[in-house]
Amino acid sequence: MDYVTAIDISAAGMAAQKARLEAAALNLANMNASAPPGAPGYRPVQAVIRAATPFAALLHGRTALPLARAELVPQSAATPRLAYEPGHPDADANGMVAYPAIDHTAEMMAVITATRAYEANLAALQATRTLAAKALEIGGQ
Amino acid sequence: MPAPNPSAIDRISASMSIATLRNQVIASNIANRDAQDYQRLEVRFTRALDDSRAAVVAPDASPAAGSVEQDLVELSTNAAHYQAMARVLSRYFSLIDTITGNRGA
Amino acid sequence: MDANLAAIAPVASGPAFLPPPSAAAPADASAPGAFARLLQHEVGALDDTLKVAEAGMRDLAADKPVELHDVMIGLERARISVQTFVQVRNKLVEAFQDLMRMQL
Repeated sequence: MDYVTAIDISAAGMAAQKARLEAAALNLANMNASAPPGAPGYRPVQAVIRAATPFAALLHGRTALPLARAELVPQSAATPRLAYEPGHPDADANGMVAYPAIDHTAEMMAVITATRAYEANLAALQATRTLAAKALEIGGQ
Repeated sequence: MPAPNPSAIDRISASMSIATLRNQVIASNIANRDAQDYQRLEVRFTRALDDSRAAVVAPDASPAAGSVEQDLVELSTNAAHYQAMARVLSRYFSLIDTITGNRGA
Repeated sequence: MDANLAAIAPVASGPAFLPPPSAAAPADASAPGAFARLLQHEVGALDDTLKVAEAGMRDLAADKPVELHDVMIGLERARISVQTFVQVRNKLVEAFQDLMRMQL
């Protein structure tokens, strides 16, 4: 029983990589969002990807190839980035402003890696389509 | 009435089925590469009691290998193999047509 | 060739009724010759290929886990069987008509 097709697998992979891109985009957008002293401020997120057996297969007690699923979770609390900006509205008594602990380079790397992985899944999807197309061409010619 | 050699066609069909399975496994390795609890898979052959070969999906014996590029190369190679066999089948049927006079020499 | 003539002859010399040229199968079912048996066998084989092709099409339409290339192979086999059989039938009809035209 084929509960999971190659197309389902690639589609799930693409969705998971998109989640990684979303996480990086969110973090980069909020990089310079300061918070007043004592307030929690923006909490950087990360995409956690797990491979789950599809429900239909579980229902029938069979093993099937897993489908990737991503969820955005807050990153483990890191000390905020402090910058000395005495005139800033969110500056504390020492003139330090708290910004989210986001590593710009790391987030950009995540964007690049996720994009490449997304394209790899796309290539897999196209390969699956090619197989079907070539099978349909079987015939005396 | 001439019958196309069944064992040749059956063998090619079996090979194409394996290529389809392999495509699925490679797609899974690519899609689940970043999943935390995923174990890389490969297509392996086991010998059944009646000595026939069965293709199974099993955890990769050498999981350390496998960059995305490697997966993509395997994907391409596998697809090319499948295409080649589909083409060979078409040629074979065309040959039968010629022999039986269905289409003329 | 003699065996074929022997099979056809009882029909030709039988009482009045001659099968129309379109019916290539031997009309006399109670005395089938070797040739008729061969024809019967070939019809059965043709029917088998059609059954396999149709089963593949049904499974594909019902979203069953059938390999696409197997369905295509089934269809090709059926096509070849049908076309070859039609050719054989046409040749048989031709031969029968030639036979009927012979001045005996």
